[in-house]
Amino acid sequence: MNKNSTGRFTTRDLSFIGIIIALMYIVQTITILGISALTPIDPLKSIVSAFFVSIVIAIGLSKVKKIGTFTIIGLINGIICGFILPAFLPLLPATLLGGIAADGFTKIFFGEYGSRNSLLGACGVGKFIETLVILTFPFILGFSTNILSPMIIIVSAVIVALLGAGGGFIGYRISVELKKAGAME
Amino acid sequence: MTNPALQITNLNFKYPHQENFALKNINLTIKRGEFVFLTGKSGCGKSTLARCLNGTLPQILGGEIDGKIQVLDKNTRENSVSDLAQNLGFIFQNPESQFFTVKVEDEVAFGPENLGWESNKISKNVDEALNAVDMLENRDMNVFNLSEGQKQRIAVAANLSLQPEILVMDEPTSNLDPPGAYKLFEILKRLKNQKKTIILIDHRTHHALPLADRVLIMDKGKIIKDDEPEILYDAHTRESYGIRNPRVLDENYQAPEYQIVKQNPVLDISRLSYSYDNGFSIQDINLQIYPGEVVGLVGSNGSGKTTLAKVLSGILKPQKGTLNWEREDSTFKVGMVFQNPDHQLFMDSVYNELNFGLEEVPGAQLNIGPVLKSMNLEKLQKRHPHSLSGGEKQRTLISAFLVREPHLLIMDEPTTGMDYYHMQRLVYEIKRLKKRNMGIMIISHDLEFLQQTTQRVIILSQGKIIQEGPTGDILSQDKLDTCFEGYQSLSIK
Amino acid sequence: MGEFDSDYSLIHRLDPRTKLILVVAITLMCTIINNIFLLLSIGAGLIILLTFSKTLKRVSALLGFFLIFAAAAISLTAIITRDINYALEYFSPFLARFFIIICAGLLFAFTTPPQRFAQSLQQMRIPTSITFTLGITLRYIPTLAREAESIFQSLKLRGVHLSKWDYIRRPSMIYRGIIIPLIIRSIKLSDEIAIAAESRAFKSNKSRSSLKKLTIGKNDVLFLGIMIITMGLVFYLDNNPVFPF
Ligand SMILES: Nc1ncnc2c1ncn2[C@@H]1O[C@H](COP(=O)(O)OP(=O)(O)OP(=O)(O)O)[C@@H](O)[C@H]1O
Ligand SMILES: [Mg+2]
Repeated sequence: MNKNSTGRFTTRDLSFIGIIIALMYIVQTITILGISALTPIDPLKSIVSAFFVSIVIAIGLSKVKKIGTFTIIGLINGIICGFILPAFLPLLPATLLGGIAADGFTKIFFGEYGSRNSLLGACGVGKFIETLVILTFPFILGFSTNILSPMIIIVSAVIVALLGAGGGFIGYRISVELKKAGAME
Repeated sequence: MTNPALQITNLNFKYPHQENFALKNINLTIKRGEFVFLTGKSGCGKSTLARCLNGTLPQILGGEIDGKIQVLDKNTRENSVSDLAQNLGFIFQNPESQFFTVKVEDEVAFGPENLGWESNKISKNVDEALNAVDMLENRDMNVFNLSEGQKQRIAVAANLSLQPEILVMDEPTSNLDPPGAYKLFEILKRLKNQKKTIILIDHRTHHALPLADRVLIMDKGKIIKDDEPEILYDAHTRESYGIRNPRVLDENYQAPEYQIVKQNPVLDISRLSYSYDNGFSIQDINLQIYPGEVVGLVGSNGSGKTTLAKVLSGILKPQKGTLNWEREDSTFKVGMVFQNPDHQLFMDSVYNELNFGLEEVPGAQLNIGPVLKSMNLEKLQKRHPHSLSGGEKQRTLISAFLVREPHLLIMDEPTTGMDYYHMQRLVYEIKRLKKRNMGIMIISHDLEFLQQTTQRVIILSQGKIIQEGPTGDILSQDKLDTCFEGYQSLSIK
Repeated sequence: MGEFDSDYSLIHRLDPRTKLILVVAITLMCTIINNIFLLLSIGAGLIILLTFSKTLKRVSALLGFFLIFAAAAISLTAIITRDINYALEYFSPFLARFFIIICAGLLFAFTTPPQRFAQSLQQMRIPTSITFTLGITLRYIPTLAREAESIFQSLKLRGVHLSKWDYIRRPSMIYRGIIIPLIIRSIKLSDEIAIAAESRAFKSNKSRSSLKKLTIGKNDVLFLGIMIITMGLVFYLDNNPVFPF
């Protein structure tokens, strides 16, 4: 394991993560405006833009490399989703748990972020858990099981996870391209 | 006052993954209270040196360093960048990337808050710092509502609130218009009188020379001149090191004969108006641009230059008036090169960049080869655009428009942060572009550059054209004193 | 996310931490309460607070959107099952809870400037690394939005007009045309931000002080007191129904 992956987060890491999260918002807004404004429920919106947002996340991960990056992204993204925009608190546990799961997955299987599979896997796992939590949340609010059967939930989570993994793959390719061009370390 | 402010011994520095040293064997002593002006060609290592002075290199950005830098009582090897902050403040070109909050006073308080000071002490320091840059009455303002010049003054105050004795500034005026730059230099003069040690890095030499006690010139990673400021009045010295003239209007300038045939304008603009929601508007613009002509557009920040350019390029739709193009047939009419080419490069090679989006323009692909050749990009065509130097990126972008055969090419502030050598190369490119029979419009504060490229100059003020005429008439000393709002400071006195 | 008049109303002036407690408590509470009338009363209470803080007008579009969605869900179910009572029973607790969470969130978001919220997190001893990063995100969303706009303009200048279908038909146009230039800017921007921060004595592992400390005032105590009493009452009523239903 690279010594990089265990070290504390430097100011440079944190400012990059901060900017990456801001960028996730911009990309999400652009893609939502582009694809459709027809999704009335906010949780759905994050699903719709999973692919493009995952590209941004994967680039962030491949630069910072350290385990914990996804958790920070999930936490801060969740704080913003929960209290600022769209101000829907149940999104906080979803993004945070997604981040923790992705970090855990990568720690166990890859040690740190960087390889193609680590980015692809982390984005997939992160999005899978995030969607799972978002979609099971309505039950806590008393939504009867007839409409969202476990089957539908699993299938949707898998679809979003695949979109996320696809984004992770593209993100990896872009980061390789930029590293070659010397525009990224 | 015996110890020097800064002492550098045998400094060498190499960026990560690079073969060559960016700094080679630098030895330098700067006395307390000295005002040092550091200049030299692009890429000679000025910013690299500045970033070594407070440990940013290698502590934040990495790299290999060798030698010793002593900053007052601390050295950069044993102290972190944050620990050096109270000795040395650091200000750079783009104010936008130095801010952490949205309110002026919070921004100035950021540094003291990091040191965990009591709120009384912070408040006192914030007042003093804002006062030093004449921004006390703006303390409750939102930074988004400040002008670029005011933002840069807040960046200075945000460093002053930590009371450093040394200030290092890397091109602080590159993004400012002449009035903004003038005001900043007024403040630097006061800081100099208060015995601050100031190290100023810039290409523009006009304002800096009267303040400087000493000039350092760098080339290829070395300090090759360490002399009196007066050496920059010597044309030979300037030319051999690629340094700009401190006189913004060249005293030996001979206006070329104005020889544009005023027929068949590529663009005929009549009674054009556009207004933003916030009330600012450009009004009643009448203007013709002729084939082969280079027109300069000047005016202080906020006078509407970029708005006019955006209307001409079709990004904004005019609310009144008409744009008549000579050739109405083609859909593609205007190319526009922004100040920062990073926004405008998308593809993974220079060739693909030129080819980007061309499928929809029949026949344009045939132009790629000839344009690559004439713009001297053939050797670079497989390179990634983002791996190119600033000038090469600019050329790639111009070429990407040329393949579409625009009627008009607009350049917004193309010489920002450019040294004399690279400016001359751009002058040469533009002279060659004239032969393509399109119109060229250059938006710039850089009067020397406009003198060398344009045949006609338009002065815009508060959204209106207030003066227009051949370059030789408009860019003259007496016009400068009277028509250019806020440009008086550029006069040669 | 730029300007924010933080002294607009009493609710605006409350400490963000007070409002934070309100949002979390209400969200948790409404998952426990079952009585639809109590849920509706909580919703009504929040509407009163929104009105009181003069933000109702600004959130009404969002709430209206939700209500239309709710009405559609109920009527659709009613049409399919041909049983309006069933549809109402089936959906109303869910929709009421959803509505409450949305209202509470909007009340917080529309009365708390993001920067002040970030400062309150700092005072709650959330690690500096998190509050700093959050601060950067909030500060630079508008900046990056402007950059994105200028990139869109650059695309137009190059004759590339993205249509809605391109997001699905040619996703590579989106990431080449928008994400790559934004990433390039982000890398440079974030390096400069890191340098600016440390040059101004920032350390990610050290706690910071602040120019103006947020303090829990009389109003906050009063507000929290009323909130606790109300919630106690609601719980009591939920477990000991005094109403016949
Ligand atoms: N982050 C970096 N990684 C690798 N090389 C770099 C980096 N930054 C600068 N360089 C290289 O170091 C050399 C010195 O660059 P530097 O930015 O210090 O020049 P400068 O004098 O400030 O130029 P300018 O006038 O354009 O600002 C150049 O060759 C440049 O390509
Ligand atoms: Mg430089």
